[in-house]
Amino acid sequence: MIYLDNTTTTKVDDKVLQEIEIYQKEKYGVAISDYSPEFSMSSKKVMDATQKIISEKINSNPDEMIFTSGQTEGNNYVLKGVPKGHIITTKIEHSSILKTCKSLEKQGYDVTYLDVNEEGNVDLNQLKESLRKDTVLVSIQHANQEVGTVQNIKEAGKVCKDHQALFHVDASHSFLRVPIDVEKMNIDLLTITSHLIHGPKGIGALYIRKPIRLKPLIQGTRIHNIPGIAGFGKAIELWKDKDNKKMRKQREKLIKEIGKIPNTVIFGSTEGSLPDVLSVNFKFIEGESIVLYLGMEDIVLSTGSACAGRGLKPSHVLEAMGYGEEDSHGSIRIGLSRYIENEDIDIFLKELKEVVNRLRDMSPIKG
Amino acid sequence: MSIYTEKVLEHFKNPRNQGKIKDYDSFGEKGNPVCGDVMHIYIKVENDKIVDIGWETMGCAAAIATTSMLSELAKGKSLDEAMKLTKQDVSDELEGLPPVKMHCSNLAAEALHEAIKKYREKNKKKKTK
Repeated sequence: MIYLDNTTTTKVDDKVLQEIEIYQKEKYGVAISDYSPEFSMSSKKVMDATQKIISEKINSNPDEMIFTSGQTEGNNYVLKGVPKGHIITTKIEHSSILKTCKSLEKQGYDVTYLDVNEEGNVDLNQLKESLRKDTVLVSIQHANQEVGTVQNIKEAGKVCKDHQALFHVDASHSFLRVPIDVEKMNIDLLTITSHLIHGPKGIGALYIRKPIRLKPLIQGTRIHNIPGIAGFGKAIELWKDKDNKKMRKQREKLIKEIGKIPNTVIFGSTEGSLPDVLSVNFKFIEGESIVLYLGMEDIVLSTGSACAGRGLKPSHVLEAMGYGEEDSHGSIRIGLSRYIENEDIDIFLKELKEVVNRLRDMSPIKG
Repeated sequence: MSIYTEKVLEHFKNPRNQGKIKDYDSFGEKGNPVCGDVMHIYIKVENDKIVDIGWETMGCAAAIATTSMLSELAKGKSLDEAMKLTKQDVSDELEGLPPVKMHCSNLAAEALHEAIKKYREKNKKKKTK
């Protein structure tokens, strides 16, 4: 199987699994205070170790973060944890931001949704103009989950700092792929998740700059997902910069080769982009058919198009970038990982070209 | 598990009667590119009977499978019989379609009816001439 759906989720690394198993079978105790049994103190050690490795990656202090169940919880925590007021976000965020904002609006919060240009970049001038006295939070994703566009977080952070507004960044898709520095970028709150870096599902972290305090999402003593935290830490340790380089090279090859197929649109930014995500549209055919035919050849990827799972609406990201329904029907999203070899890319390209030709041969619209 | 029945997937994988037929007598089309589904049906008629049928479809698996199935159902039928074919017949023969696909992608029967109507109008004119 060639798994190219790594933007949805990734395979857990074997070494991560081994680490998880240790904390499920051997070191299963959980310390709920400093006076807990010595046996259970291993949980505290592994939590500290994971916090430390995250803090090294984002340049924070280890004690400036909490563990969450992942992106959705982290983002909900931030939005529901700030005082009532004006929130600024963008039109291309993950659903955990957009749906939560919609529900906050019903509760009397005011939300501004920033536009993006055709490459998916947020307009920072619009951000400046949208800031108000009662703006309690600005929430902008680091990189987009569909088209891979990376935002100018450093500039956005500067704007927020000048205005003294809290700045939250959802870095779920960029963590370890694109450098993040909460100090240099003036980030106050940062969401990350484990399942997109070959770690386990159901674990993530939220960086909260001291002395910021968010209203807790849930209350009471929590038995932490220690095996998940252990696996998360291991996954971070295993991610190497050479993986990013390998993926970026493969992505460049994909852009070059797919670009040769006529009537094809490659979405996203030509410059600032994730190394591992590529969204493409093939005109005159449907994304779901491409995905199903490729699935029959044991190649797994997702459609970015209308007819699969999202009702009949096109992706909100492509819509915000100015593409119409017609443009989003034949789109697919390719998500790379360190497990993809160059031969896999060659096989995928060969099959993709065949499938696109086959479907175009079937289509009454010839361009 | 797929949202589609085995039969839908089988027709999607091996579509029957696909392609435009060269010397067709009439054709009908349904759908539009904004919805993502467009179907063209081509028929060849002899003695009021569909002796050959071909099609072109842009769309999802349901769109391709329903056009393929419709072409099988219509081939060899008289024009009167073919006019009675419905989208429900197509769906039943495919052992069901996901509800969301029933109306947006299952347009082949309508395209066929249009082709037949056009054919009849054309022939009426010929006769009156």
